[in-house]
Amino acid sequence: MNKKALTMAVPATLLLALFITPVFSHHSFAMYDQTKTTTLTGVSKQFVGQANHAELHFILIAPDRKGLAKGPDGKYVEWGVEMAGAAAVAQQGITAETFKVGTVFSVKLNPLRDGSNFGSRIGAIAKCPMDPATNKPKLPEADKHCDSVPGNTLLGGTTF
Amino acid sequence: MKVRTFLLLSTFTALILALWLAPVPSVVFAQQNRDLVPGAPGQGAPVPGPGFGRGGTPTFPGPPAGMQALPGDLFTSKNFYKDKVLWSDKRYFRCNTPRQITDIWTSGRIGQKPPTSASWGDCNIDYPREKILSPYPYKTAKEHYEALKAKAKSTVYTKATVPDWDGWYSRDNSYSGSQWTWGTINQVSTILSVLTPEYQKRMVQMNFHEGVNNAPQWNASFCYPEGFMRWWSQASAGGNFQLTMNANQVQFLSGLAANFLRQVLIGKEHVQKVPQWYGETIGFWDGTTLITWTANVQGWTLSHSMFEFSDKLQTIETYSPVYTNGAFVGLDHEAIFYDPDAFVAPLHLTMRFNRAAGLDNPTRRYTYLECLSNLRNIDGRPSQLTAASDRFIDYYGRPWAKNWEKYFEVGWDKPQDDLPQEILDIFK
Amino acid sequence: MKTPRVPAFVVFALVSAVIPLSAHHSWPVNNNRLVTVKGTVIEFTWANPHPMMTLEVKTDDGRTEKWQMGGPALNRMEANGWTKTTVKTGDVITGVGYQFADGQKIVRLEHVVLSDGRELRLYGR
Repeated sequence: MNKKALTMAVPATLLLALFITPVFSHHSFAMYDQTKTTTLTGVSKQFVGQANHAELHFILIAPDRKGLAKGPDGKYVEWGVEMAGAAAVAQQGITAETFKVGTVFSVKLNPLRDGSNFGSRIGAIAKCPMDPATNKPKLPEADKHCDSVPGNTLLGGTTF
Repeated sequence: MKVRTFLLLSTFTALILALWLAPVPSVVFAQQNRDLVPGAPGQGAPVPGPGFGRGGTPTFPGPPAGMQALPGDLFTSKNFYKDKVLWSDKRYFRCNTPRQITDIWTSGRIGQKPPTSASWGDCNIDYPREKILSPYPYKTAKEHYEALKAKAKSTVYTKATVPDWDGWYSRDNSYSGSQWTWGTINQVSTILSVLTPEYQKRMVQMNFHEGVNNAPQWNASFCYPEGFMRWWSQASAGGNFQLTMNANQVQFLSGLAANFLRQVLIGKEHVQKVPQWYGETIGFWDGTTLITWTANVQGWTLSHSMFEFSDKLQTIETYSPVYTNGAFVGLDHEAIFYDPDAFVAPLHLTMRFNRAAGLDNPTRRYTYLECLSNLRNIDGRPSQLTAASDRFIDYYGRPWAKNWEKYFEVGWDKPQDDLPQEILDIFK
Repeated sequence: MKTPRVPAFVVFALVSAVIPLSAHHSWPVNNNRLVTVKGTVIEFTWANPHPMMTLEVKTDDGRTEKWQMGGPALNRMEANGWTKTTVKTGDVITGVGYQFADGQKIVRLEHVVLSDGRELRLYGR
């Protein structure tokens, strides 16, 4: 009964719009450079399941895909990407379990304007598949990302 | 008859006819004309464009034909305080709504040469000032409450008889065309026109620093409290609440960035001595209508290019049930806002909340919110701190231990802190 | 604030159309003639600001017409003995009130006679 009243009251176009307008966030996205897209491949270090914005913190894999990237200071390079709230991304299959420590994936993001290693996710995340023979993730070739690895999974979208 | 008078009379007639001859149901009988004529339930007038005024934004390079841009406006100003005489002109804000100004950088409407290249909004979009103002003759919340109490058929419910409104409610978005607190349906200047000079100044200040300096200061960014008025904002989800009924109190629980807790204390008086973030609410039943009075509100900001309010803000709200053919559908809500410091007159807003589920729903439950943020102002603009920063808080990574290790365990002989084995193992 | 570029008396008319002086002046009805409508209730919305009923009415020439009739706020109607189930779909009732001056089949009720013969007022004396 209530559903009927709601459906009658809200035309389909408006209902659709509810889902395609930007996520109601607790901060402005002005701090991200929305004209720049950065594509990164890395290994999950921590999934932060916050109600407002889930975050994935990861260690960058080197461009030759033969090891972890090292910064100019010789230390591993850590990045963070924020996305919609934990409940919403859970619907997309993105959880602490599916991105547990050691998960290799690729993501596109709008980076922070100030140049720090943090960004706001765009589109789907591409998860590299596991190699059943070695029980380790199958890595992409040099300078390529998980979307190029056969058997990869796209989560939270249909295009990478 | 002079041509001019004839034209004026024709306009008069045409306008009145347009109002009264529109087919039923129609915008004329929309909820914003609530005191005039009957309307079919849920007959609010939706805002043009998807996203209830936030998407598909009208974007124009200049004013409409026949309207001249001002020689100087918000986006060319070096000091908005000096432009006071222009604040009442919608052209000063390039006909943008408050929400459009909030989004003007992220939507790209600021243009290629910010801020002077800022786009214009639709100068024809506005919601009538008369409908924002309260239609009632009362000057204070106390006067209003006492008048309603005097007229009421006093009703006392017991635990067994209290109306069965318990459940999960969401806002009826067909009312989006009247929700001026969303900042999506008005010219900035129209909202300013219901504010006192001091509060106009504060709202223009917010519009300037959000729209021109790109320095938004959203409450949730820094985990400031949402504040009372944000219960009526679009994004706070204040209006999507869990409702629990009791003979002694009626409780509303909601929120997205922070928890809104509002309790109506039935048959009680105000006792708080200090302002409360979500006010202190008392109420009584008049038949099946709940009438409430909120006082002792902590002054704060509605944010998002809208207005601030003071400690003097009080509301009188009524909640009444909606039944269609005998079945309970939801609640009809009316709020009158009194704030002699901030508003030139009491303001008025109505909304309908549809019950989406009962409290017996097996999977719905309230998710308690703790605001956790690593956003800080750096040189005046909010920035996301990363782990590299001194002030970063790794909330889910034992932040207390991180502090001790950083300041008190330096140089200790302890197990090597390295990446988890699962990560290192990948390349072994 | 800058006044709208509409002649003052037009603004006044619009304003007076929107802001009620009292409930009896807020419906655009013809107060000179009481109308009586009898029909079958096909819809009943019990809600503020105006509970409304839709009646299916058989005209003299055998057609059916839809009429809407309504009353004041819930608390006022309750004070006159109304509840959410006073009227149900399928009830045959007679409504007496004032019709919209422009001829629309909308009536602001003064009283009704319910299917069981009971008479109920809408507005207090």
